[in-house]
Amino acid sequence: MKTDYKKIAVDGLITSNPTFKLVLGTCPTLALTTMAMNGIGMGLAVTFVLIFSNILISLLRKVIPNQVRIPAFVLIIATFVTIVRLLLDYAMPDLYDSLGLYLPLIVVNCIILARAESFASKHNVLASACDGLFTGLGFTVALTLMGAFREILGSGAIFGVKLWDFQIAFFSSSSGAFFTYAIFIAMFSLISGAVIDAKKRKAYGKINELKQENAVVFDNGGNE
Amino acid sequence: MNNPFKLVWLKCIIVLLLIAGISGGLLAILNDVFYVSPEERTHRAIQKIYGEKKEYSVIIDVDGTDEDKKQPVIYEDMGRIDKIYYVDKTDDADKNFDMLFKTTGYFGYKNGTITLWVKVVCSENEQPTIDKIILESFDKQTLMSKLGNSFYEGFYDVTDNYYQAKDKKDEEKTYNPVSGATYSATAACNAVNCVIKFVKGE
Amino acid sequence: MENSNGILVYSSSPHKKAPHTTKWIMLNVLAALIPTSIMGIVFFGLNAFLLIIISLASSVAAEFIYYLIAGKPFREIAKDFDYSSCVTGLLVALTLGTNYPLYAPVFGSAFAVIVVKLLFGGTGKNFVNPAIVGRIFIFISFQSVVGSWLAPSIASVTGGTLSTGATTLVNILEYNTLPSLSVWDLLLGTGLSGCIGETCKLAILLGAIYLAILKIIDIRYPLIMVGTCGLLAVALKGFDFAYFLPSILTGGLILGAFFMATDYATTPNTKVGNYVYFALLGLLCAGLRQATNMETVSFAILLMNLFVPLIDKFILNRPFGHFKKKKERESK
Repeated sequence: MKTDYKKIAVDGLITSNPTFKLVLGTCPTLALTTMAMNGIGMGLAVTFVLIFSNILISLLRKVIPNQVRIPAFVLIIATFVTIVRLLLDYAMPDLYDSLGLYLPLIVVNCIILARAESFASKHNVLASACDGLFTGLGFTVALTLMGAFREILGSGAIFGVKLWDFQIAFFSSSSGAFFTYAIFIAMFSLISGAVIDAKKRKAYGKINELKQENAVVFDNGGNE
Repeated sequence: MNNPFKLVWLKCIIVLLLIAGISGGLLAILNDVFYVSPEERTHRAIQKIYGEKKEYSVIIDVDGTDEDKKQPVIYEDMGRIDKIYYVDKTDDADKNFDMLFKTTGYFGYKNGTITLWVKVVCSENEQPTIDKIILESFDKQTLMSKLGNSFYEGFYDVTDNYYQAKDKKDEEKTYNPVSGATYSATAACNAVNCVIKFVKGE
Repeated sequence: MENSNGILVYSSSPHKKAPHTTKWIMLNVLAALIPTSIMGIVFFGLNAFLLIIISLASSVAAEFIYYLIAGKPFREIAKDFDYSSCVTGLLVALTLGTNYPLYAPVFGSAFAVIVVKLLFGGTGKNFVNPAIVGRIFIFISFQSVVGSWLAPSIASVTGGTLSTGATTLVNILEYNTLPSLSVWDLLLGTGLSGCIGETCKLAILLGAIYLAILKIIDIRYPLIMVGTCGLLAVALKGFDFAYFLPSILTGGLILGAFFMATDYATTPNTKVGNYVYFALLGLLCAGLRQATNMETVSFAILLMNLFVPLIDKFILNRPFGHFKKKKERESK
């Protein structure tokens, strides 16, 4: 059975986008999108944990008995989150400080557990790694977009560079976080719905064309 | 039916122990590889305060190598000072220098502590004043987000008076209250008070 | 309907309609708010006037733009226009202080009208009071740009001192000092600083009485709210009745009670439910004010609006013809 890597990529980024479609892992989404830089940092940390935990769980999927799969998954995920913490404290202390409490909270981030449960425990290593990569990328892009929106409107800056003095402090507050999340989910559904509708219409048009051709053949041929 | 059941139960435990064991070993190795030494942390604090690397000389350093400079300065009901450095002191006769303290204040929330880096500017004809404070770490505190930059800036420029965190209406004592996080503010004030006590020479 | 001789007209109910339409109600509410607006402009000058005009314009523009984007033709929007967004815009402006920047009501009114009212289905389907949300939005977003309150242009009529800076309400709550203005000053709003619409209580009360005569609002309920707020404030200050009138007459309580808490879509459907709702509103206002030492009427109204479906679920009207089973047994 050949794995369709393109489908995995599109799934992780668009059709099963963890933030906008599956609405998983909302705690860091709401708390860390005040600045776009935090969003990118968190997204990359989650991507790292996703890829490696998916690989390891996929390697061990025949070995772990069904009754203890959740504790085993959480053990593995916690190991990799600790590795990320050690890495960040060593190499990027600024990012470590700005992520603060949300870095150890990645262990209970629903995205990682959901992908492990639904994908990594059933597919081979390469497909699982791919899925982890693209899901993490989807999460990172979502967080960065929301962070940029909130930062531009709420602090008049982008990636730390101050643009202008005008600020609407509502978007930097927690109520603004929920509101921005709602706007983005609505926009995402609108755009992805429109794209899927256009694809369906195109496919339907093709089927109609084929039907027309076959109808002509039937009319003339009769039996054949 | 007994046999398969027993096998599964045993297998579960073995697998979990194996995963825990291997992860533990891996983490132990990586902990060593990515270890951040106390010296490195001092360098990072200096980088944050001054924006560049600076030379410093040790007065007291609990993690240092010098045996007779290893004792921390302990104040019973306030906190303790773990490290004291001279920064920018060219020689013994230099009267304009900075002192860098790593101080820990007691009596925070749930008896926890707060650790701060405090920079004190000493110059020849003036009183030493606190110039900058950076948070290093904390223990068992939950509302650290309430102690923002403006809270720490309230300590700057003074080394006359001690700081009280809880007494809001007493005009004689200078205070830095933070409503909702009074225990944490107390611990931070205690940390700063240790520095003030040391600088005043008591 | 025209009824030609001898021919039956067949139609379904309702057969008899009152002349009141939503447009009629909203225009009357606007008329009732005119004295308040005029006194606000007289007290606080040109800035107040500009804020009111900009807020009105942006709320109406927000509704038109929303419907245009949704694909409704312009003539239909103008035909269906009930002046509810005008009322929202005016109320949002009346709850601002004069020194808010002029772009603040644009964002506040647009947010209030679009997000709270139109996205949820239009007039009568808002789940919280839109003017309250607009006011809170502006308060959260632009608080840092604003300085202290401005003084009104007419000084105290009975010789009290001007109260500016920390408003009179904060003085009462935090420092337990009664205002140096007499009750007449507080009623008329002379020498009292605050939001544009909230200082002249007399004008607000005149407008409310006008609406009560037309039976658009029920005057009992806001009075219950004001009364319970005053009583709880007195209780929290150690049962000192000198605080009763100052607690009621400072801050935005009167404006909030008579014009914002009585919005049709966000009050319960039953009489008992309304009593409970407005009493709880009064208690919440006084309690939050004492706990946080600032003006909390808008937050109290917002919180209680969210409880209205709960009140409606448990406090029900007696269905027509229903009687209790015990009485049935007794009568047998």
